[in-house]
Amino acid sequence: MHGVFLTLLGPVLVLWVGALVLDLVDRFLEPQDRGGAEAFVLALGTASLLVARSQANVPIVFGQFLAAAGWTGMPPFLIAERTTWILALIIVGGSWMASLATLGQPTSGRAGRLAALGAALLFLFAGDWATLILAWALVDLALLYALARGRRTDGGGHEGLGWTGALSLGGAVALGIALLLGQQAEGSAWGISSRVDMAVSHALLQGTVTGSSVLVAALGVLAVLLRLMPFPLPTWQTITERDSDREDRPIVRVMLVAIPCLLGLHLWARLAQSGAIALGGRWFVLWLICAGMGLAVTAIKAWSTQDPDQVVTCVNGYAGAVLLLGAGLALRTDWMLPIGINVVLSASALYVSWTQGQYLRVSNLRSYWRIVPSLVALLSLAGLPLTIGFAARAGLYKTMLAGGKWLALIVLMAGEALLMGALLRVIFGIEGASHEEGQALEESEQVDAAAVSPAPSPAPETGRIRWMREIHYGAGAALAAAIVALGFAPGLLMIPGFGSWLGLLTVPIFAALLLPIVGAIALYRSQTAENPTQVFPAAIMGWGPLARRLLSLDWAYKLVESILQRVGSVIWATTQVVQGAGYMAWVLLVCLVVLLFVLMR
Amino acid sequence: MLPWKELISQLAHLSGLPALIGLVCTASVIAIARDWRFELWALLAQYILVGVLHLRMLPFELALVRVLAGVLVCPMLYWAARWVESERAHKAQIERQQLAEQGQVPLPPLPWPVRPTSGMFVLLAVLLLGMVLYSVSSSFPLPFIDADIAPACVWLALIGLFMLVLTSEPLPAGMGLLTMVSGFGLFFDVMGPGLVGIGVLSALDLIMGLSISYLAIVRDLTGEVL
Amino acid sequence: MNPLILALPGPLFLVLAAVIVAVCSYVTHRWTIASGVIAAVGCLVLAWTCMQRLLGLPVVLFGRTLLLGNSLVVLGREWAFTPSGLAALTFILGAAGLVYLFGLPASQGWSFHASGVLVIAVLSLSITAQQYVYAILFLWLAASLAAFVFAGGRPGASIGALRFMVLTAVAAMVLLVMPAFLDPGGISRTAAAFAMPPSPAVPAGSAGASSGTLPTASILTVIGFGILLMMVPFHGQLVAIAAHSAPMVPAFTLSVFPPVVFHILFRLGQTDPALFQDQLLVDVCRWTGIAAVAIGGLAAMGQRRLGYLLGYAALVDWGAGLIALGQGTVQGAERATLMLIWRVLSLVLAGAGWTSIYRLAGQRDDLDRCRGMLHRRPLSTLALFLGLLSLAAFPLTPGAAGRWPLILQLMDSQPGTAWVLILAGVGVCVGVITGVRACLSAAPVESRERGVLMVGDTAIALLALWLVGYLFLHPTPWLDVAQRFLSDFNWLAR
Repeated sequence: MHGVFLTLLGPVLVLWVGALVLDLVDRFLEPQDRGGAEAFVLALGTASLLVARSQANVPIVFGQFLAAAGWTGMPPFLIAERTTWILALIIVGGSWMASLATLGQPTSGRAGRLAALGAALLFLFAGDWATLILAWALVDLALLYALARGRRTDGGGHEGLGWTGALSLGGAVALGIALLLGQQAEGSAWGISSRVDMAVSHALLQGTVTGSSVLVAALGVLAVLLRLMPFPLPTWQTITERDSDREDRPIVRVMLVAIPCLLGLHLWARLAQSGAIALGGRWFVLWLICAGMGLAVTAIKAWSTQDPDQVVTCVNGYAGAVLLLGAGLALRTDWMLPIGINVVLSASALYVSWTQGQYLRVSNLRSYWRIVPSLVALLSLAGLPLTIGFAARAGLYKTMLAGGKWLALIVLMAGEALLMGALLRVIFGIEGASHEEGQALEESEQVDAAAVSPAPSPAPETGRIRWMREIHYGAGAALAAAIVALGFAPGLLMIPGFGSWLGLLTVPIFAALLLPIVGAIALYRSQTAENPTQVFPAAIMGWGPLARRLLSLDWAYKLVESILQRVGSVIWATTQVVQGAGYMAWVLLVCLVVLLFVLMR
Repeated sequence: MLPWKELISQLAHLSGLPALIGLVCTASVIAIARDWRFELWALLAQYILVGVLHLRMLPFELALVRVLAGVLVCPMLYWAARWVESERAHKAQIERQQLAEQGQVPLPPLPWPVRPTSGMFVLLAVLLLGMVLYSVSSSFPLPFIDADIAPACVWLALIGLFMLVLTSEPLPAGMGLLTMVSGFGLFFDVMGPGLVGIGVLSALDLIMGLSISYLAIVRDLTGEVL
Repeated sequence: MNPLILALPGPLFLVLAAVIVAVCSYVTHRWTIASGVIAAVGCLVLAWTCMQRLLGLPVVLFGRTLLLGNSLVVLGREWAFTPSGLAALTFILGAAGLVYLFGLPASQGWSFHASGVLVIAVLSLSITAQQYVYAILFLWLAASLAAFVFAGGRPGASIGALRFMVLTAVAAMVLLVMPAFLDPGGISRTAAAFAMPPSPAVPAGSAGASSGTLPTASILTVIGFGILLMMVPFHGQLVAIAAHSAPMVPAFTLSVFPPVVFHILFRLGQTDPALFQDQLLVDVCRWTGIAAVAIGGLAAMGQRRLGYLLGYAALVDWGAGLIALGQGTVQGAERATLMLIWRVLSLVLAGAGWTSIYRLAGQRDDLDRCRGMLHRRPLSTLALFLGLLSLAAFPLTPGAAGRWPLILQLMDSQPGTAWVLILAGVGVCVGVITGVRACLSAAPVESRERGVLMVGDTAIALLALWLVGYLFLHPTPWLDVAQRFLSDFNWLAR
């Protein structure tokens, strides 16, 4: 039994068992651990994942008993290549770091989060499509459960929850239908191919192109879109952005960017490798349009608010948009991978460590280390060398320039400049805002040190806060270190090394890398100068809240939901009429009509 | 043969027409009447008349079993209907008092029982069914059965079906079902069911009566006021 | 005589044993759990007995060996065990035992257990009857008794019971009249296991009925079985039973009655294949199946009550079974039979979850009353919606195991039908999502409830999830039962 924990099933089981135990405990007891239990389980999961590294490329069959159920082909199994394992490590490791940054905050929803992570690992390790679809459904259900349990207030804000969950689960259904249609040619009812390539490429289509195969490709395109859930779809992030229910815990935010992005990336890679979406090229433009809209909307949202927290959350939308952009350009898998890892790690580092800026003191040079993780994340997003973002950007710009996608390039650069300018405003703006708080903290520490009263001082309270602060910082620093490490050695991801990416660098690409950074700095400086120049005129800035509200598309979702509710009401009323007291009359009517028809013939 | 048995056997020699007229009346009363008491009495009479027709096709003992089963169904329905009526009256009384207390007004009059269709509509429908019976009997006579009994079978089936279509209340719909089954029972006699078959059919009548009574009581457990 | 051996006619033993269980269950009906346990254990023991008998193994109960004779003759009428009959009885009793077991968390009605076992006793008489007429009569009797099972679980809910009783009565009447029109030349009076009564249409010694009566018999057969098989427009009984009865009643209904109907239908085809030569029943099955699937899928999207949602989801699955039957092949009949099994598992799972939710919602099934149920009873809610998804043939659920092979087969020959099946499943999923949203909504102020109830609900839900999963993943015994059920009917291959 203990052997199973050394396999790929090990981390999955660790997380699920942890989820079950914590859920049961939370039902009977008031949590006292301030998030330590969740961090511990995630640490165990990470350790288990590291141990399972030795099992890479070894299939773990867990569905032998399905053969008795009449399943054809190979039974369900798990397998992890190097890249899949790395994705899993990023998800679990990143969540672990984020959990450390969440210590001291409410623990509600932790069981759902752990279950979602376990299901996400199952998704990544799935060796067959049936397991992948099942894992997809489990991820969504667990996320919905976690977010529902994590709500502070009762009532309100459920529409986003419903739409997001429904659409995401609909993606699983679409993928299932696509695979079943595609597998029809192979005669296997469950999409379990009898030809399993250890490199995890499952050929879905055989023979010539048919209407069915085009439909399969379309459904595959839709499935990727719904897994990523970017703008204008109701993103997972929008659920947590209700004013009455703002979710600002780092671990939730990290999971809501890591899970959709990395799982979407993995799904895209699987489908692309298997050739399932090759025939759907005409629908890739849909991805590009969504990406462009997402980038534009992210930029506008970032500049339409003064709340630093809301600015930071815009990174989530940016992450999904960039991934979609890469998918829409049909990038190579080894060029898409750094994009996904970059956005996830950078967003995670930002979410974990952007609040560290409040401890920055201008007079204390050592305190500048507080904002280093955030700066590293920002630089990685910008694509500077020696961060993983460089590999991400180089491949993306190379493809855009080679393909002549000028519009996409301009939108991407403009969006990046605006977003990073806004983030700079947040990161360095906290320094100014917290200067007085920093002085107050210094004074309070001096008072504590000079206190002569023998009475029990609040030192333990301050000590705990200090420890938490350092742990939070350490988590952000670890993520920043990972960004830099992967920047130095992208070969760890089984992609071309740093030298290869450097070899891609041409003048246009260099310019494309630098221009957004220059633009961001210029925008930031224009805001912080003595006579700040508004990026947008005051008249437009005044419409910021309205613009933000319009761009959140809540009104569109409510409109669609209203229409669907009316249709549902009509269906409900019709069934009540037919199934009500007059049912026998309807039966007689139908029988008479049938009789009439038969007699006429 | 015992005198009373001989007397009853002689009833079998009656032509089907008087029985048919009687069945037309009883079935019509069951369909049209709004008071369950009239309906039950009509049902009882209907079972007896159907029993007389059974005598034409079955041995005396078997026909008696069929009649007894039908007659025993009526008390079941009676007790159920009594309970339902008393419960409804009780609930109506409580609601009237609550209304009076809320509004500080005198007790409002008891509401009339509401039925989805008025008596006139049902009467006209029954007349229409009578015309259907006439045309069906002349154009598509029921095979395998005596010509003077066939219309009775068809009539009972039509009325039973009509009542099932008209209402979903257990008591009136149940009586419609029992009416339809009575008509079927007449036709089934031509199949030569034998003792076991008649026994099962009679048990069916009893079980259906019990079920209908039970459903009538359960239906009224909502607390709704008539 | 060895006191350790008890010899009885098999059909008689079954009926007596079931009646005894029913009586014991009735005596304890005030204590729902005791009554339910008695009924569940009794049914499972009887199922085991039938299985042993089917496999030709000795039956030993409480230290006594039961020698179950094959037949019982009463007044010239015979009731006997056949392989198909025993297989059907094994399934019915086993499924009923599961239904009773998982219905323990809440009362399904004061007479659910006792009357249910009594219904099974009467149905056993229908299955073992060697005369067509008595098979139909006892089926009718059981349907009338079933009113006590359907009603009583909910105050005021009599529609489902009444509708089922009425429609079954109409169907039985039609089917009982059918032999009068049948060509007696097709009847083998001496050797057939399913003898028909003599036709009054044909004088004794004549060659056979006129050709004009066979189509009439065929049409009457179609009408009768059309009602019993709940084809459109007679599907309302299925929805009404689900919507107006206690949570476990749909599982009970669809586990005990359809096997009997299938059994009678297949036996009729075996002894009188002339009835089905014109393929009318097959065509009607297929078309009404498509209609049922379409209606169920469309209606499921707009439902606001769990009972109706379950009813329409079951209708979609039922329609798929009719489409399988409407293929008119051996494979189709096998698929339809297997779908019976998977459907029961789905309904048992859904019912097990719904039972706890139903009790917590104050014996109401409005979605508004289910707010916050996912937090109060996550496992029960999971079981409920997993069961519903199984009825929608969501991949990797029992329902999918039955339906998707049919869909993939139809993709080649009848793609329109295949897509109707797929879209209907999507429609049910939409309904499920509506339900999940309701359960995820913020709960009203919770009243204090006893911890033992919560533990019990969780245990039942876990047990249901495990057991259904286990049975789904180890279907060999069930598949074997299905194979034996169909083994007597080779007319399908003709």
